[in-house]
Order: sequence, then structure tokens, then C-alpha cells
Amino acid sequence: MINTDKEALKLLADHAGIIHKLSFMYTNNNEEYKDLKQEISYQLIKSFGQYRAESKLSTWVYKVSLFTALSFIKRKPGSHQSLAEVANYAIIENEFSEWNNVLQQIKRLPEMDKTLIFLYLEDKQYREIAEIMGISETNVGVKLNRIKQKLKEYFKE
Amino acid sequence: MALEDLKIAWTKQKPVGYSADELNSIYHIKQLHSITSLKTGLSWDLLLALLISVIFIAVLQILDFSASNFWSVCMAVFATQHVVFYQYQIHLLRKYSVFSQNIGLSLENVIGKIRLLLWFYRLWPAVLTMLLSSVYVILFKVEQPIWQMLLIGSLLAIGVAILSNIISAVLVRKQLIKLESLRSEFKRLATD
Repeated sequence: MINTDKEALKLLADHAGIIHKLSFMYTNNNEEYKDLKQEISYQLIKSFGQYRAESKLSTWVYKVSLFTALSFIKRKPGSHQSLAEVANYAIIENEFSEWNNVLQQIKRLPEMDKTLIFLYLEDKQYREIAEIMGISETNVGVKLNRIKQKLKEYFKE
Repeated sequence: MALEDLKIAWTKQKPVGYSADELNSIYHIKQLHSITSLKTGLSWDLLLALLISVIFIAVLQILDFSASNFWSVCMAVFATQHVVFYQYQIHLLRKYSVFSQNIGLSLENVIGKIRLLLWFYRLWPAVLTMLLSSVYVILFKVEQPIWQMLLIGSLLAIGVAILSNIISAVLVRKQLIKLESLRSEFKRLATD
């Protein structure tokens, strides 16, 4: 159990990579990225005390972060449509610049599909994806194959 | 396929930390939330103090002791001073935390001022009760048996005031000292 804010801050720093990539995946410009990263970080600091070791800490971090990201998108539906701004993504555009087309396509997916692809990119096993998203492993497999197929068709065009 | 290639690049991405600016803004939110919960705690403390005072006055008036009116006035003074302290604390929190641009400085100011206030809080109920008791003795030239009543009244009044003040002091201390230690930790974690 995480009892102090200091411990929570250390854990936040340990999971900074997840928060960074997730914020990048769910936003379309620098301002949104900063806002979401800040919101996820704050929610995690606030919620670390509620972690009960029933699942892996990283699984729990994914759950809280994804829930926060989805709430964030619901509150800002308009800005989420501005995909043209992806190219101006100053903070991280260099990291994945050669994948810009692929990422734009992933960002256009419905939220559920985007979350599945995000966890797939994070190299999570079907079992862990199922636990994070609250669906069955079979469902994860079926949905992932369908999304991959959809993306493959797009890249062929 | 592009997706598999992206996955390789994605998992190889080097870890990213937090810049000092990012940590500062997270800390700012944390501070604002802490101050909101502190204000809520102080409001409950004030409500409790007022409730105890009203019950105390009502009981005194029903029992109708010879010193009932005097101690009712004392309880009303306690309740009033609590309202004044509450307003002062809220004023300090608002002045130094919400409207100031410099979060670090504002926090240090609030902690410094409230620390002084906490000492005042602990000493004040006893001083005020002793002061009022002396006034009572001088004004009414009390005889021996009434001293017992005065002693019981004083002890009760001190007890009520100290209980309420300790709740308030603990709330303030806990929140602000936690924030102070957290700020140094935020500074330590910054990657730039």
C-alpha cells in the first residue's frame, strides 16, 4: 500500500513513460497533451493510496490513466477532432515523426479501438489488456484482429 | 507491416520524466485541492464549535444556576472568537494561496503565519477563561461556594475551546506541513 505523497511521487516518476505515451495517443496538440499529462499525473498521486495490490501496479496505472484520458476527451470533444494539429506537436513530434501517418490513423479510431491498439503497442499480453479494459481475452483477440485488418486495408490504399 | 514496425519503435522509446514546469503545475493543483479540503475541515470545525456553544448556553439557561448568565456570555465570546479566527484563516489562505502568482512563496507565508496562529490558539482559551473568571470575581464579589461553580465552569469552557481549537490546529498543520515536504520532493524529481 502506498501511504505517503512522497512514495506516490516516486511511483509517478517510475511510470512517467506510460503517462507520456498515453497522453500523446489521446491528444492532438501540445496544449492538450500538457493538460492531459497533468491531469493523469494528479489523479495518480491522488489515487495511489487506494491501490490494493489486487493487480500489478502497472495494470492499475493503465486503468486509472485510461479512465482519466477518456473522461478528459469527453469533456473536450471539439478539440479532439483537430487532427490537422498533429503535425505541430512540438514536444514529441520528433520521437515518432516517421510514424505520423500511422499514428494519425490510429488516433482516428473509436476510443475503445484506440485503447486496444495503445495497449497492443505497449506490448501487453491479451490477459492484461482484458484486465485493464474489463473485457474477455477472447474479445480482446477478436477486436484486435479486426482493428489490425482495418488498419492494414488503410495502409494498402 | 507498419503497425508492427511502430510497435518496435514504440516499445524502444526512451523513458520520459517530468520537467520542473510540469511538476510545478501538478503541485499547484495539489496545493489548491489541499487548501479546498482544509477550508472544508475548518468550516466543520467552526460548525462544531458553534453547536457546542449553543448547546452549552441552552443547558446553562435551563438549569438556571446563579452563574448561568455569566457563563452563557463567556460561551458566546468563545463562539465569536472562533468565528473571527475562522475568518482570519480563510483570509490568509485566500490572500497567500489563490491570488499570489508565486506558489512557493505563498505557501511559506501561509505556513509561517498559521504556525504563529496555532500557538495563539493553544494558549488563548485558557487565558480568556482565567481573564473572564477574574472579571466575574471582581464584579460580583463572589463568596466561597460559588468558587466551585466557577471552577467547574472554567474547566468546561477551557475543555470545549481546547477541543475545538485542537481540531482546527491539527487540520491546518497536517495539510500545510504535508504540502511543504511535498514541494521539496517535487523539486528533487524534476528532470531539468
